[in-house]
Amino acid sequence: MAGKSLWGELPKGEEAGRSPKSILQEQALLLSNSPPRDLVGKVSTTRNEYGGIEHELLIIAPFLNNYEVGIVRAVHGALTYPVTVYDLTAGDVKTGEYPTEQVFENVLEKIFTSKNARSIISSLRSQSPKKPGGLAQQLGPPS
Amino acid sequence: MVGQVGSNDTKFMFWNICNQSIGQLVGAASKQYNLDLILLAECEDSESIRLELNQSTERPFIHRREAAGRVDVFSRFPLGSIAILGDYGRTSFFHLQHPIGKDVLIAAVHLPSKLHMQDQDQTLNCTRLIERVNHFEARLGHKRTIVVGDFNINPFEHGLIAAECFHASLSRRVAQRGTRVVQGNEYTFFYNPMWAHFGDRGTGPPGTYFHSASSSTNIYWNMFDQVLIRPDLLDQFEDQSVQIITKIDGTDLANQEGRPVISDHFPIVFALNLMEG
Repeated sequence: MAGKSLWGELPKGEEAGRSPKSILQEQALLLSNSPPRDLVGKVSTTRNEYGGIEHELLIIAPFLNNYEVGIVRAVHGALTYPVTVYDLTAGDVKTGEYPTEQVFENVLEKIFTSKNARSIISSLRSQSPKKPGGLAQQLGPPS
Repeated sequence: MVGQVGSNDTKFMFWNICNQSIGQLVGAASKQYNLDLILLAECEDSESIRLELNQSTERPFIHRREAAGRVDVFSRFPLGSIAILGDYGRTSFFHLQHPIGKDVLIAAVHLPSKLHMQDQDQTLNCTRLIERVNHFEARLGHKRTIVVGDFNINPFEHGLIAAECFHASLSRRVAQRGTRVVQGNEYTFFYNPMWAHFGDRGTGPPGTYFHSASSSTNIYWNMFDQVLIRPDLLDQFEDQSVQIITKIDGTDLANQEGRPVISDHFPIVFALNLMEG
């Protein structure tokens, strides 16, 4: 016979809001879907030696033999916030610790729109066969 | 010349040039040591370096670096022989496909300085890095890997010796065991030949980087610039090929006290015999 639950009403997780991982995954998907859909956003999650959970947002260029470039790393413990952010485009620089999803999104926006990130994306797209006047356009649609 | 190097060996140089305009010296080093692959950290003007390298040579250098890279590569191998696999803040992964020899995975690093990162974070960084090494080794299907660069930690620190990190042994014989099991997990060794160059009994300076601090523990000379070699490449590597360079074509890279002056790091050179056979 099952005993009486001492857990009370268990939280469903909605109260905690969106996790850093889900925010990064959304951004990865938005990048993948952005025209001309030549780059792929990916989030890689690992557990570090000190028990922290690390999420890295990477950009993959399939036309460069799947060349990968790290954009941002977000690290947190069992609680998803505060989350510590490292800007990989600036050479793995810690930007700070952010207590809420709103401020986390703010710092992500700052990194994604930074000169470094723009320059990386622009440099990758300049080598894409899908760029205007690129190989794919020169060859035309497959017959 | 690089000590005990065969004519078919692939000669490498790594140098943190500290944003100095020293293309002429890099060019002179390429001739003096007959270099095939040059990796430069803190290189601001790669174009002038490429031009200097390619003055009066029949084997021109090709420059490789993506926008996100922190280490510039100048290669004498044919176009397409060097593929950049990934850039992750302070580490870049290259795949060198020797035209008639063994292919090699090269991780080029310029890890954060102790001025900007605590010891624990430096160690953590190394665990991250080794996971990427393992990832690319699995992708390429071999463990012929070197990790080279400015680690900003010494060969005796956790980031270099711990099994979960680089697991880099000071002994070739130990590294040749291949792997070691620690608490149920198997870790592949690296061999770190730089230990033999520490202190005054080596053939070169006591380290690659000098730093005087007021803290009670101060070893003054650090071996931040290193090359680590996987056991699967040890048959292709002679310890004697490793040198810390203090003079290029008559120009001293050290002051009267023997400390680096042109850059705050000395360059290192080494060789691998990648020819099949």
